[in-house]
Amino acid sequence: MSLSIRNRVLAGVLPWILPVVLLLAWQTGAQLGWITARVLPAPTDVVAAGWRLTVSGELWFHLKSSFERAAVGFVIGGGIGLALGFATGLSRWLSLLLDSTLQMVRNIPHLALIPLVILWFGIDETAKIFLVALGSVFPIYLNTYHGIRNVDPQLLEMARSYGVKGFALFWHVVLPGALPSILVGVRFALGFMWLTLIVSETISATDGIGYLAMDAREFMQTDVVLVAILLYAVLGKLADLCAKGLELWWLRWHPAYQRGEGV
Amino acid sequence: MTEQSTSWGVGIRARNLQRHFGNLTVLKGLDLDIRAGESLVIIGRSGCGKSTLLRLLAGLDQPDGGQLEFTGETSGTSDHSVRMMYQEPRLLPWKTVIGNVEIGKVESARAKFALHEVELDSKARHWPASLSGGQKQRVALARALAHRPELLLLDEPLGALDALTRSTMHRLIENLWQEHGFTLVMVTHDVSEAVMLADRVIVLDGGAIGLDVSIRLPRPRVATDPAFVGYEARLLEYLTGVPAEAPDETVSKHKRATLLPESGYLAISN
Repeated sequence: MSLSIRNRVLAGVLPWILPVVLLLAWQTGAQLGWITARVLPAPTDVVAAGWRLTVSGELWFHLKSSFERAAVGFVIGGGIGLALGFATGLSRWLSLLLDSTLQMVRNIPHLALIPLVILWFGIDETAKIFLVALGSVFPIYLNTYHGIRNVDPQLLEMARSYGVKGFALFWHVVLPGALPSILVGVRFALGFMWLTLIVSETISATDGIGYLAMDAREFMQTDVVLVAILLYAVLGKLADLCAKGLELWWLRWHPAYQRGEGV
Repeated sequence: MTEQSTSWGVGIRARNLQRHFGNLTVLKGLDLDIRAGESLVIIGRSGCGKSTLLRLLAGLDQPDGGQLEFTGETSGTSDHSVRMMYQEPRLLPWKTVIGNVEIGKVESARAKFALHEVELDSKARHWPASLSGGQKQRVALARALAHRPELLLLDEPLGALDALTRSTMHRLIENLWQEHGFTLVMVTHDVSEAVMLADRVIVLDGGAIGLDVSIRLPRPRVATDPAFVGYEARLLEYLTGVPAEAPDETVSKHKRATLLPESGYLAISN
């Protein structure tokens, strides 16, 4: 009994040991001058830089720009992906018409389009939102299509024979059946969303977290660059938590998502 | 709940019913009359066409030839309420138990009553994943009942259940059938289940009716009743092709012995 408690404490502590040791080594190294501040400022300096940016309001300004871009791009791209997935998933003819082309386009890395996008849209807001949207389309498209195609045909047959058809069939049977797969697509798309945002903001921008980092680089403010990187990590984690929250709520019927022990 | 059970069974007349799958003829000119309110059980070996016949009755599949029509008193509309229970419960896992019973525009009160009839009131707000196999099939039964079926089709719905749950389900189905008065058509592998529930058992053989037996036993039936055992033996004998007096089968011998004095119960046509 006492052994299992000790194991549990150990299991709680163990994952933290390595990060804490690294952090301490970093702090000590920086303070003793082993690591120059231009390469890696001390963690306390990074925290101080973060605080300074927060107080001056700069951080919120850039955070807001980045968040807006991410959200708008994701909603547009995700919406298109969802609509295409529904169309090809629900109609055999549309699937024949569209799917092979979409699969081909999907294989082009969307960041390879940056030169073309700059030619089309210049370097303003549209270009960034376009890239973010493009990055979010395919993960959601693929998983929506896959999810709808894999809805249990026995359930569909049952529902039809019980008089469920048209929109009701879609709403009560097809959509919930495809939802686990669609949410996997959402989580992938969120990952692509941040990746694309970082790249497009570092290429050209006058605001946003990417701009913050690039601007700080010009002035060799390594501490601010690190703040920007940490911000991306936190935002990415937050987005993932939101997606997980949606899964917990929407898939609460699913045995794998029911609250129980091993979660 | 004071809901009146006013369902009326519908009769069925099938003439020269045919169904082919490629070169395979599954049903070849099947004639079958089912009385309104009758309980008919279809048995037969695998691939004899019993599930095909059931799917034709359910309208899930169309015959290649012959006529299939509903007869008798109807509930007013020409659209007969035919509901099916499958081998699997086929519950929507993302709807609660009561949500599953309400599928297909069923009023909430009626769904509740149906759930009450299968004695699962307490599980209304549970997810299907939390139910046992027997409970799931009871929800599927409630879902069918909530539509006030004139014809209830059962495609081996109890096959995956343990013996005790099966016998509980037999009682439940029998009671609800007697109460509601719908026509019941069931497909099963289990001869004992057939004799337990059927007014009439037909054995499908090579796409046609091989044996048609009326089970004239009072309900509720008891599986140890010698007459019950006699019917079982008669059906098994036909299905296995082994005469009941086969010397290597002591069980058959016993059944044969009980069958003979009771043979007056047998009404074999065809």
